[in-house]
Amino acid sequence: MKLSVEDKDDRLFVKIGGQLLYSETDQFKEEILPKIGQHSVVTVDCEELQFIDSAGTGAIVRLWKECRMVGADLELIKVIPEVQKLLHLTRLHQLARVVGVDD
Amino acid sequence: MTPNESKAVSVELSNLSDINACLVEIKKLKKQLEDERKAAEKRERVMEQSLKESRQMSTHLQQISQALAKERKAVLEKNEKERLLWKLIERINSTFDLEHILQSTVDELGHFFKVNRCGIIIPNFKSNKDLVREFATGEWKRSHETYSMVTLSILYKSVTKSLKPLIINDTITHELTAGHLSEDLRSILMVPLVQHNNELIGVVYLHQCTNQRNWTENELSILQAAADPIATAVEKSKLFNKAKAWASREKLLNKLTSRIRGTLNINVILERTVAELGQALQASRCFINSIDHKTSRETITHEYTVTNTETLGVKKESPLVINKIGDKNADYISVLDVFKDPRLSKLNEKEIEQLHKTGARAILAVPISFQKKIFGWLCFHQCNIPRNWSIEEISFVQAVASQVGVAINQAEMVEELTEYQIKISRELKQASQLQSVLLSAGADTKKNLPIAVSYHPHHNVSGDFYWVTELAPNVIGILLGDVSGKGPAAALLTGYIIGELKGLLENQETSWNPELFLTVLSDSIFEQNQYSDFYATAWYGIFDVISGKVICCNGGHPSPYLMKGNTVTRLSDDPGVPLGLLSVKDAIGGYVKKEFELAPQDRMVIFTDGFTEQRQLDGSFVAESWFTEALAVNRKYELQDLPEEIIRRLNIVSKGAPADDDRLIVAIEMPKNNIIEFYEDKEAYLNEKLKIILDDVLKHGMPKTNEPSLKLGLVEALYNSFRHGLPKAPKNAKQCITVAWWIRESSFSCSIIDPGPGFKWQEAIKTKSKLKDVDLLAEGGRGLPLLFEIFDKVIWNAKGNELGLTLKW
Repeated sequence: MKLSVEDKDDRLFVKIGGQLLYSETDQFKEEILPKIGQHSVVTVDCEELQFIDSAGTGAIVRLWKECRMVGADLELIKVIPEVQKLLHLTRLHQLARVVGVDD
Repeated sequence: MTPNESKAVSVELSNLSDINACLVEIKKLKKQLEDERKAAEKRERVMEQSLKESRQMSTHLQQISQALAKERKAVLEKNEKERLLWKLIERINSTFDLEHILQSTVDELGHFFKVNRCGIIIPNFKSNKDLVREFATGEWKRSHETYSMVTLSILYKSVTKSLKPLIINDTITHELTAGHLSEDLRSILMVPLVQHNNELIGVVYLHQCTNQRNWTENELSILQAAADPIATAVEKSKLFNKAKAWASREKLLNKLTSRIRGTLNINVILERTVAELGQALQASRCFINSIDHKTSRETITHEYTVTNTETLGVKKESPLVINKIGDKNADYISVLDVFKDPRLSKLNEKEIEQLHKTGARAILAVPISFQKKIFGWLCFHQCNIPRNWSIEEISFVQAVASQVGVAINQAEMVEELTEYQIKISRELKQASQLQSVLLSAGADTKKNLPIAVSYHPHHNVSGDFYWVTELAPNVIGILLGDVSGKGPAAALLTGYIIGELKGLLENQETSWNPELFLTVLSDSIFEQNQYSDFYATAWYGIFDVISGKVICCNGGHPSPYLMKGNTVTRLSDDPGVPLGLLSVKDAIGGYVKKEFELAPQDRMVIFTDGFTEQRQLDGSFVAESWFTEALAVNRKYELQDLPEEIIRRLNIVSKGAPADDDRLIVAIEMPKNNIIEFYEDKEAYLNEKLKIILDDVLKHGMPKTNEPSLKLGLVEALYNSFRHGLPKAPKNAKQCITVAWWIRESSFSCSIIDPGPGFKWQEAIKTKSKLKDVDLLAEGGRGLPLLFEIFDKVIWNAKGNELGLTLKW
C-alpha cells in the first residue's frame, strides 16, 4: 500500500495506492487518523487504489467515524469501479461521498 | 229232341211177307221210339237242369260282378282320396309360407270337390288378425273383407266350439241357417282343423251355391282327411315362424350383446338398443326409465318411437306408473290392456290421465338390473290396441335387459375406475414430483462435484434412490439404493429411506463410517419391515476429491465399475445382505468396509440392477459383459455425458426392448487438483500465490470481470484462517494454510484448510451471512457475509477448519 497525506487549509488530502488489505489497515489508521484536526473535509484520492478487502472497508468506517467526531466530511474520489463495487456492496457510500474515477 | 219230332224210317217192301216179322219190326220200332222218347225226355230233363244251373250261375255272376264293381268303386274313391292327400302333402312340404300353403290348398280342394267355394280360416287369438284364404268360382268370388267375416258367423262358432264337422245339405231347411242367409248358399260342409292335442287351429269349409247338394260320407271323409295335413302345415309353419323369430331375436340379442361388450359408450349402446328392440318387437315405443339411486328420481334416458307416435321426451322426469301396479321385485310387468287391467285401479286420477296421455294401450316393463341392483326399467308401449306380450317376447326382452344391466354396471365401473385412475395418476404425479424434490436435494447441482447422474424411473414413482452430500468441502458421500418392488409402495419406502438417510448423513458418526451407516439404515428398515416384506440394496461410499481416497460399503447392491486408464474392472467390495432383511444382532459379520484410491481422471460408475437385469426383445437377458464393453468404448466421453451414453448403449444391446426396471447410474471422476500452501499473509506474498490461482481460473474461461470478486473472496477466506485458525494451531501441526482447487466447466471450487481448531460456523452464519445485517458503522464482521455474497456455495467441515467455496460463471 502507498499512502501520502497532505494538509491543505481546512482540507486533509489523502492519496492511497496499491491494496488496502487486512495486513495494511493498521498502517492506514496509524498514518491518517492522528492527522485529522480542524478540517472541514477529508478527501481520499483512490485513483491508484487497486484492491480493498473487508478489513480495508473497516478502516474506512473508522476514518469516517474520526471525521464525524471533528465535524468533517469524508469523500472518496477517483474510485476505480472494482473498488467502488465493494464500497457499494458494503454500503459505505451511505457514509462517505464516493466519486468514481470516470465521474 | 222234342216228342213231336219224327224220324224218317226206311222200310223195305220186299220184306213185308212176313207179318210177324212186320210186327216184330213194328214192336221193335215202337220200342225204339219209346227208347228215343225216353232219351229225349232225359235230355230234356238234363237240359232243364242245366238251364236252371245256368240261371243260378248267371245270378251268382251278376252278384259277383256287382260286388266287384262296388269294390272297384271303393278302391277308386280311396285312390282319389290318397291322390288328393298326397297332392296336399306335397304342396305343404314345398314351402313354409303359410299363406301360400292355404291358398293352394283351398284351390285344390275347391277343384276336387267341384264346389263354388272352399275356404280355410286360421284364427289368431293373440293379435285378432285371422288368416283367411278362400277359393271361389265365377260369380261366387267374394272380397277378402267379406270372407274374413266368416269367423263371426254362428256356423263357424258352432264348429270351433264342438270341434265336430257341420254338414248342411240344404240351408233352406237347416235349423242354423233357415232364413238367415242373404245369398243363394244351399249346402255347407265345415270341418274343424285340430292338432294332435285336440287344440283347434282353424276350420276348412265347402260351399255349394244355388243347387242343393247332399254331402256324401266319402266327401266328408276326404275333407276330414285333408284337414290333417292342413293342420300339420299350420303347425309346421307356426313352428317355423317361431324358430325364425327366435333365431332373429337370438341374432339381435347377440348383436346387442356384442355391441354392449364391444364398447363402453353406454349412451350409444342404449340408443341403439331401444331402437332395435322397438323394431324387433314392433312396439309403438321402447324406452329406458332410469332410476337415480341418490334421488330415487326416474328419468327417461333413451327412447325410440315409431312414426306417428308421440315421444315421451328424453331427460324428462317420468315416474313409471307401473311401479305402483306391480311388484318392484317382479321379473317383469305386463299389461295387455290398460283399460281392462284391474291393477290400474291402484293409480290415482292424475296418474291415469298421465298414462292415457302417452297413448299406451299395452305395456311391458322389464327391470334392468345387475346383482339385485336395479338401474331402471326397459319399457315398451303398444299404442291404441291391446297386446298380449308373449312369453318368448318377455324372455327376449329380459335377456337384453340383463345384458344392458351388465353394460350399465360395466360403464359405471369403468367410470369409477377412470376416476380412480385419474386420481391415482394425479397422486402418482404428485408423488413423483415429491420424490423428485426429495431426490433433487441429493443431486445439488451447485456442488461442483466431479459427478454425473442419470435417473430413469420405470414408473411415475421409483424404487431407486440416490443421495450425494458434501460431508466436507473436499469429501462427498454417495449413496445409491434400490427398494425391492416398484410403484407407489416401493416409492414410499424410498421416501422413508431418504428421510432416514438424511438423518444419518447429518450425524458424523454414521456419515463418515459406511459400515455403520448401512447397519443403522438396515436396522431402521428392518423395524419397518415388520409391516411389509420390502427390503433394499444400497451402496454407500465416501470420496475425498483431493486425495482420491474412497471408503465404501455394499449392502447387497451391484458392485461398481472402476475405470482406471484404459482398464475397466469390477470393484470387489464383498456385497453384504440387503438392507432390512436382518436385524443388527442377526447380521453376523455385518458389512465389509472397502478402501481404495482413485488417481486423477480415474472414474467410478455406480448403478442399480436396471442395468444388469435388462432383457432383450426375445426375453433373454443382455449379457453382463455389455457393461464393461460400454464403459471401455465410452471412455472418451466427458463425465457429464457418460451416464446417458451408457443408457443409450444399453438400449442398443437390448435391441430396443423397453426398460424392465428403474435405471439409475452415478459416475464420479477424480479431478486433477491443484494445491498451494500459504505460510504468511504479507501482501506481496499473497498476491503472488493468489495470482497462480486466478490465472488458472481465467485460463479455464472465467470472465475477467469476476477476478476482483474471486480475489476478494479468497483474501477474505485466507485472512480468516490466518487470523483465527493458524494462531491457534497445535505447534506440531504444519503451520500453513492449504488451498486445493479444481475447475469443472464453468465452476471453480476450492478447499481452504488450516490446522487450527476450527470455529462454530453454524452459529456464526446465523447472524453473519448477509451484508445487510451488518451494522454500517461496525469496523469488522464483513468477512463472512462477503464470502456468501461472492460465492455460489460456501461450506465448512463440521469442525470449521476446512472451508469449501464454489464460484460459477
